[in-house]
Amino acid sequence: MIISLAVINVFFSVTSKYYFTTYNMINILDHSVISLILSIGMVFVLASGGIDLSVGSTLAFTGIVAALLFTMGIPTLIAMGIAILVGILIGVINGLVISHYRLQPFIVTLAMLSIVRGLALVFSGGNPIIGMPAGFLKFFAGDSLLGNGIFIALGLTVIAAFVLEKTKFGTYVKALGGSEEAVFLVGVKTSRIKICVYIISGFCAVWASFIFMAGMDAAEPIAGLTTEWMEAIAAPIIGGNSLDGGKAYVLGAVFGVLILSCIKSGLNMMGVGQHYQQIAIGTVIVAAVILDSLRRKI
Amino acid sequence: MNDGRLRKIRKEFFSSVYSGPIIAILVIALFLSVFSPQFLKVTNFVNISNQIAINIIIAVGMTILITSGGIDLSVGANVALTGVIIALYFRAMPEGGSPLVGILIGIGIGALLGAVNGAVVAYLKAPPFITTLGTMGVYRGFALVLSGGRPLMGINTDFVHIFSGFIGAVPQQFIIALLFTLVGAFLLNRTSIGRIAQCMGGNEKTLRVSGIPVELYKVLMYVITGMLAAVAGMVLTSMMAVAEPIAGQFYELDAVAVVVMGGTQLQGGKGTVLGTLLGAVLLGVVRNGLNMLGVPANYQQLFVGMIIMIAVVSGSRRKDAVQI
Amino acid sequence: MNTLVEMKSLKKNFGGIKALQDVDLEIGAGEIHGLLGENGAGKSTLMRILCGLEVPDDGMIRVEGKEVRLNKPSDAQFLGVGMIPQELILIDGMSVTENIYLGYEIHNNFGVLDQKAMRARARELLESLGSEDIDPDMYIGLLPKAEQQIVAIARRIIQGGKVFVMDEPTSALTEKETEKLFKVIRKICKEGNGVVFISHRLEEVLEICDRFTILRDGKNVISIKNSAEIGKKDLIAYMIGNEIEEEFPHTVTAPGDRVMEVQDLSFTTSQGRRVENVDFHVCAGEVVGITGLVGVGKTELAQTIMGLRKKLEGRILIGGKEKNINSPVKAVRNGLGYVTEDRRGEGLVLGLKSLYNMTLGALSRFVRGMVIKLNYEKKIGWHYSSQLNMKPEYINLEARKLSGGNQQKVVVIRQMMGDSDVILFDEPTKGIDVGAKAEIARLISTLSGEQKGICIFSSEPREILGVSDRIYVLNNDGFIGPFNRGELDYKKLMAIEFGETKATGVGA
Repeated sequence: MIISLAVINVFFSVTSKYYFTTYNMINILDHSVISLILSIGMVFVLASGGIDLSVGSTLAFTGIVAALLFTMGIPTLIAMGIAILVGILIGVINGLVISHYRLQPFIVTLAMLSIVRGLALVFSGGNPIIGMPAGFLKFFAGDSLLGNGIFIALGLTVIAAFVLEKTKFGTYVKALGGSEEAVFLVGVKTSRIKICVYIISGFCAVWASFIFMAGMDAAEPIAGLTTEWMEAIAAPIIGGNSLDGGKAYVLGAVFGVLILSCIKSGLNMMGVGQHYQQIAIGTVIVAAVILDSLRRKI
Repeated sequence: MNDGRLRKIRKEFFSSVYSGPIIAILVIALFLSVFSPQFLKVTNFVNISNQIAINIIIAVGMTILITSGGIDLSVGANVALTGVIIALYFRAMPEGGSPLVGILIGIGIGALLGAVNGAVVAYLKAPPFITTLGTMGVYRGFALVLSGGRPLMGINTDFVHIFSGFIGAVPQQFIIALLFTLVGAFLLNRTSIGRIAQCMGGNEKTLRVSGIPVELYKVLMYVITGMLAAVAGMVLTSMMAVAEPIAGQFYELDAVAVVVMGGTQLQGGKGTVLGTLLGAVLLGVVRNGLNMLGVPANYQQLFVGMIIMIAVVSGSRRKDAVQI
Repeated sequence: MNTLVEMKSLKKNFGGIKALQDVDLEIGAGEIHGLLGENGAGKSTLMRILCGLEVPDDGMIRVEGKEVRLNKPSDAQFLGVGMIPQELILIDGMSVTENIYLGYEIHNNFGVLDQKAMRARARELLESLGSEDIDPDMYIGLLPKAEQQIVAIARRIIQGGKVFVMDEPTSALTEKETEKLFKVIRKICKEGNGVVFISHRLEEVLEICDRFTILRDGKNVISIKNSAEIGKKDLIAYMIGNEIEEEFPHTVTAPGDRVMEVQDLSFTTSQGRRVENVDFHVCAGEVVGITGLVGVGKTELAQTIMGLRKKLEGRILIGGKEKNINSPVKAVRNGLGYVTEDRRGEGLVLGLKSLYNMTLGALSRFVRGMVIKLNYEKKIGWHYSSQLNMKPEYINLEARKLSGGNQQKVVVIRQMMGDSDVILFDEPTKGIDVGAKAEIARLISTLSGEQKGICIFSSEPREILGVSDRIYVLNNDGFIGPFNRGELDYKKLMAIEFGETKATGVGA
């Protein structure tokens, strides 16, 4: 993990003199924040043996909801609270449908991706909503170079790591991914755990959305739908988490996000166009998936 | 007994997998013809058939693939990439090249893209949906790179005429779509490839134990899907007379949606091409109706998603649904 | 000694099959109770009922004097009753401590785990079980089976286990490991718990159990205390009774050349045990029976021959020439056919028409160009199904809807339609009613009459004795045989399977 990160960094600092500057490093961290928060939520879902394809849409939609409420004059904190509830609700629906109808998570969350994206388009009329309240911007912008977003991301990371390693719930999430039968036989309600992990995923998507909006000073209905949601899946897998479940490497997800961000930044520095980057990211996803399935064979 | 026979036919109809889509189409059509005067016009039907043609072509391939237990989310990107490559060929040739060669190249590209997907899934045992999610990005990226991010014009005019235009009142591409539907249905129900697809989706182990080279056939399923997506790409390119690298977005979702709506089960093992056709007509009618009623385009995404969800959930509750 | 568990007059039917008829069982505190019987005698059904995985149709269960209803596994666990199944159901990716405490973790009010306490207690527990060498932080997946077993026992103890049902606990263990396990079992019984020990290894059962209950065909045979006078022979006698052998029709054919020869084959069983030096051959027109107790490796042997499982050593010769069969595609190409043990899991595509299941292996026969001649397919399907007394309408039904017997006929017809020279049958009449059993047996005879070589892998001794021309036995000592038809009777065969006598057969 660390080796690959180091290698990538060395490679790119050779190819462009602007790469290894403080400014760029901070840039990379800044851009990583959103993917990181989404990935943290995804670690829970993956560990339980599922997957959540709808995080990008949730990010967009809850952002639109919050922005609309802002424009309607609703106090900032209340609007944020409502947006968070919406994110949680999306997670509840995902979890309920998956566990009650015993459906494959990928198709349910794929359908949700479509539905929620549609909702975002509908509520926003297809256009971005510009202008966030001052308090909101200030909170997330912060005073340091990096902005408060990174602290939120780090905070969530630490909390996630703690929950997964040190709590009963974390154990059950990992156990569910390992063997649903074992968990059932000891009397733990598997559906409850499943719903919880999707709630966590939705919750993280909302916070990612807030940071995104603060950064852009606008809420966009197509936010998170280009590559962020795929990165949210690829990063944890690069970091050692498995599509099968049973493992929960929060630190690995962090490294995965950093690796992807470095690659993006490095390619940018090299003058590689956006389009090539898409190829690169797609290839990385495929490679990560192949890696994962080879890991499982062993 | 006349009454008894009628009852039997009615019972068979309602329990068949086609009853859902057919009833839905009739109900919606009825509703629309009452509330919107434009609906029952011939030009409108031509419109609908124009719009669903491409979706049908892709969905036919997707039907066979899903029946065999797989799925391919890269078809939309396939459409774009095929169009781009063909356009590049036509532009590169001094007299505009030959349409036949263009078609061959297109099919070849489609097969190649499908083969890559199939090889990774079959031989590296990677899960299909996420693999094709990744290849979707790769293929889309190539489309953007090769085209420089701009739409490409200069498509061979003969080529354009092959796929667009009319035969009588019916648009040519719709006829092509129907043709592929027939071929697809035939393939699935009456050939050994179709039979193997059904078995693969139902119980892959049985195929393996019977000595059939499972991996090879898996790749074949993806190749078929890729080729059909490429054909759809060629139809689109000729319809528009331009190849756009951003074409085909969400085509994969639409394809999955109509396959599921048509009654094919996502877990595999049971598939119906005819059902997919009905599903495509249903989706087309719904979209058309939303347009007629002045519903903004944004809502349509919402509808497609909800339809997939409803279809998937109700599919799992059917009595003969295969349990995971 | 007080009674921990009392099961009285239990009845259970599955579809039309009477799994249990009026079965009683009593387990006392501190008792190691051996539950014995052949396959299908009802042992696992009885234990599944005890552990809340099945609900009896009738009968009473008392735990520690109180009558109870056990509707789900957690009901049983709440009362201290739980099973340690053969597969153990541990979570590979988690540590020993985590597995031991699964579902019963030590935590504070917020759900935060007290990992130090759990680790310490786990270590204590393992020590008290004589296994201080098991590292509580080690991942289960890395532990050998024997140690995993101890962890499974420790888990049951933490779950508050009073009654431990152990299903074939020693099938993957060496002698030393078995001794260690026995120490642990004795220890937990000394503390007043009860153990139900299910095993086919009669020497071990005789060594460790205080008492035996023996079932046959879903009914009690006897329940007796262990003593020095009881030996393997007696147990076997109780298990098999003195019944008349079932009728398995058999026709004699003059065997032709050797169609398949297996030399010096070795492979590993699904439990990790290595089986070596398997030598046998099959001639055209012959029925060779390979038998042994459940779990000894018969299915794995068939799988190795078919290329579904890695061959560690040895050679397979088809028609006198050595063939490198490392995949089922190659096996089929070389004329081998396989009827799997697990019809529903591997043998059939349940959602598909039975007819299509039948023609799956021989599609090329019905295909011209790439098109399937549907009418011809139907005709041939009718032809074969009537040959087997299967109602021809059934070929249009989904395989899932047929009875077990008919399902098996479908699978066999698949082989008949193909043109294999050698057909391997794995447990061909498992879970099938008597009438269908006889038909399948007749069918096997017919196939051998067509000069095919047939190899039957079965743990049902009566079937093997009835159908085979020559018999080989796979037991813990190795691969023994061949025995010609008529050389063995039921008692002799069972004795060899249990390793009772050192018979070697007439030589390969």
